[in-house]
Amino acid sequence: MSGRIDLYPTGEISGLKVRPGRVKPYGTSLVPGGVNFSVFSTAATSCTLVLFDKQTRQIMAELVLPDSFRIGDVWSVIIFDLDPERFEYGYRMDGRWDPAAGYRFDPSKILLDPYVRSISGREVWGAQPDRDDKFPYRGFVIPEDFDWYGDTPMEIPSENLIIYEMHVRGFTRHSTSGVAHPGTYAGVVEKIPYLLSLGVNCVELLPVFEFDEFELSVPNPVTGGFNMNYWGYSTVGFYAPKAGFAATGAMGMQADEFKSMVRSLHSAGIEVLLDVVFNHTSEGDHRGPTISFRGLDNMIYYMLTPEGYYHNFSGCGNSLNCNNPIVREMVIECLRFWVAEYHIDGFRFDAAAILGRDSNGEIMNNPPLLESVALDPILKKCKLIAEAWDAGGLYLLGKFPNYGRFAEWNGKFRDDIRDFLRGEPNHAGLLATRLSGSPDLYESSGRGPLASINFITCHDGFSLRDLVSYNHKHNEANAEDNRDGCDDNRSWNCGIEGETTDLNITALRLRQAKNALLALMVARGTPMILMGDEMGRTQWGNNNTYCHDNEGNWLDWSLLEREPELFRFVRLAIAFRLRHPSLRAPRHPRSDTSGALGFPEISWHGRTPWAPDWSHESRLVAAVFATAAATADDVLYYAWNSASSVTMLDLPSLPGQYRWRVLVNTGCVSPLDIYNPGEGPLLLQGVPFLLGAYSSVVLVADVDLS
Amino acid sequence: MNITISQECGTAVASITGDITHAVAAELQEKLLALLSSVEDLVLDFGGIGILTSAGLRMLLLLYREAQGGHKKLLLAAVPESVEDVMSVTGFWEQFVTCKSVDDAIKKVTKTVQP
Repeated sequence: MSGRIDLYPTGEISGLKVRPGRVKPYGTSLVPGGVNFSVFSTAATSCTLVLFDKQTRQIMAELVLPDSFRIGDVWSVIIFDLDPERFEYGYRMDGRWDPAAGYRFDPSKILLDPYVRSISGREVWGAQPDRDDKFPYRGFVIPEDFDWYGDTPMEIPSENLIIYEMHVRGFTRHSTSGVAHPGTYAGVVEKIPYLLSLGVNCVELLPVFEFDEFELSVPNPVTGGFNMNYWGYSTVGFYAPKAGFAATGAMGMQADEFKSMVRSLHSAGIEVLLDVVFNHTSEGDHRGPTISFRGLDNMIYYMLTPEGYYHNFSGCGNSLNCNNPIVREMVIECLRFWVAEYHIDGFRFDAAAILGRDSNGEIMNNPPLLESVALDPILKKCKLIAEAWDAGGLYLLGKFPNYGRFAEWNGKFRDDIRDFLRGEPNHAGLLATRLSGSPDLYESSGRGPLASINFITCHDGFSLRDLVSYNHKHNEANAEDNRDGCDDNRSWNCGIEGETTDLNITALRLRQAKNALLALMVARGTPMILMGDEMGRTQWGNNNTYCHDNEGNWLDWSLLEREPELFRFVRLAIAFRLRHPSLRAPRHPRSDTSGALGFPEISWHGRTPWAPDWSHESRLVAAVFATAAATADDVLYYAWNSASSVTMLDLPSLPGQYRWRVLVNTGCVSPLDIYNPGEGPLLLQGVPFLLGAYSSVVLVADVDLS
Repeated sequence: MNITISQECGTAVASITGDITHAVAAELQEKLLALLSSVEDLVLDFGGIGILTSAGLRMLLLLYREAQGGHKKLLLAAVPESVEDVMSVTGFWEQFVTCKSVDDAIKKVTKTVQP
């Protein structure tokens, strides 16, 4: 027993030795000799802590906490001699039941602690749930004592980042992954050598906060299987890692496994960003289950209509009341927790526009949540990325309240690159704007290109292979008569809808995929690649694969053997971007400055040098990118022809011994499509360059030593 | 859970059988810490263990830190594959010196001791 008197019990409740607890931190914490519990509710009239025996799953004890254990709205208790490995817990909260007024207290429900660090109930992905269990999700305590081996914050400058958006399970679940623990955090670790060979230095994980893959699961008459919540955009517990993604989830060691994954990724030089969903919870609308928040403090956690129903700006039934000071604290504490305890390097906020709404759903000028997140000392160095829109129609691209911190998923980059790729008219100027880091969106507010997360594909929508293989979505497998999913895909199938053996079409598709990825690597801003796009992953034309836990979503690693040309291209294109500072400067390029070899930082060209064609029918954009430093010689020529005919290009002249050397030409097949530095052919001065139909090229200024 | 202690070539070997869970971790920790304080090197023979839970792993870590602090050697021997697997994916495995058998562990200790 400790010599400290404050660590002795002061009494007994339900046969357990207790003393009034510490109100902070909320949730549970291990204290010498016992466990501290703390929970708050602004309107509950009583609080009962329910302890379960972990093994038998039966209730072990119920502790009605007396008023002497309450400070303000917070109940807390220390229970002594409690074996952390043997109990799980929840709360019963009593109070008014008056839904129209916003009160939904129901002491028959046992509620999950909103601050719970680990959750049981979904330990093994896909294991059939016990539908009769009235309290399927239970909290449990875990030690927070991981040895990080001196892991230091990565803090890779955003201009040097190459983000790889991926699903933990989908990355290695396929039988071809060859890992010992398919579909898990441990599986990700086994594939680190692959990530390094590709050259990415950041993974952005689709939701890893505990969710229930069986939420809203229904038989799927089209596939014959079950629809599942595969993506996981439906949080059960914000502080708990998804146990079903851990090989050791059944042993309750998901936190250790997750941390081990982060540590291994960091030691390989790879940052970890989390896709976080603070816009709604898994409790749905008034018809949904009472799991936690609804039964603890309905009016605090949710945006409610005057009639007591749930505002649904998320499209998922409810909207978290993020700008309420109490909820705000929960969100900020949560982010701090993931940064401090799990060494997470940043966050992508799903449907983040909701985070700028007030309790009535109105748009706020200075949303305190976003300001607090942006200025928080613990979060100061991590990446913050907003999906700057929501399902309620709020679209804040370029205008997201950023406080100098938040970057945005640039939806206009995606749309304009897709349009230019498919040969739409009137897009030459827009392509130039996107390549420059979207100054139309970010310059007037003083934000540079790093406000722009450039992407062409993401989990939401077509994969890159499908973008060049389908004109329309094919979501029949979602069993909603193809009504779900976006209709604005801006895709082109290159002549035939779907898979084909026509060699001309498959060659064109491969070329188009290379054109898209090259544009992504050339543009200023931070590029993001979707898992599998580097090897031609298909979703069979489905642009909304949220519900499929099958080969339509899992990465088929045999594609690496079937699509070696694309993988090689992406690998070398990433390396190319990282070699050239002229592509990565953290400010919008200026055309009126003097840079390397006498070129301005950016200059625009056409079939003849210095004569760009911004006309309605132009499908050619050519540019020279030069580092701003006049003493350097990092100068690149880039041209993209998205017309169906070849074009001849007169190239800008280079001074002295410099000549243009071919680095990339998507009009050629591998290995002539992209070269290692110094290996491509040098071009003769004054000889026009023939750029193929639907092709793009990069030339680098190099000294002719021959 | 059972523990048998023997001395081989001057090295203490603690052979543990059964599951190492929170139920036994504290008791085992007490015994092993006492043992460690009285010897130079300690080999834990895990050939007979079944499950090693989070509490068991933490007990091992504490023992490892104690050994490290006292400049002693702590070796794990004959760890079952399933336990090695859990220790690997949770990031604990590489912290420990491990040997396929108790004999190997003793040889390793002896080899390190002799110049």
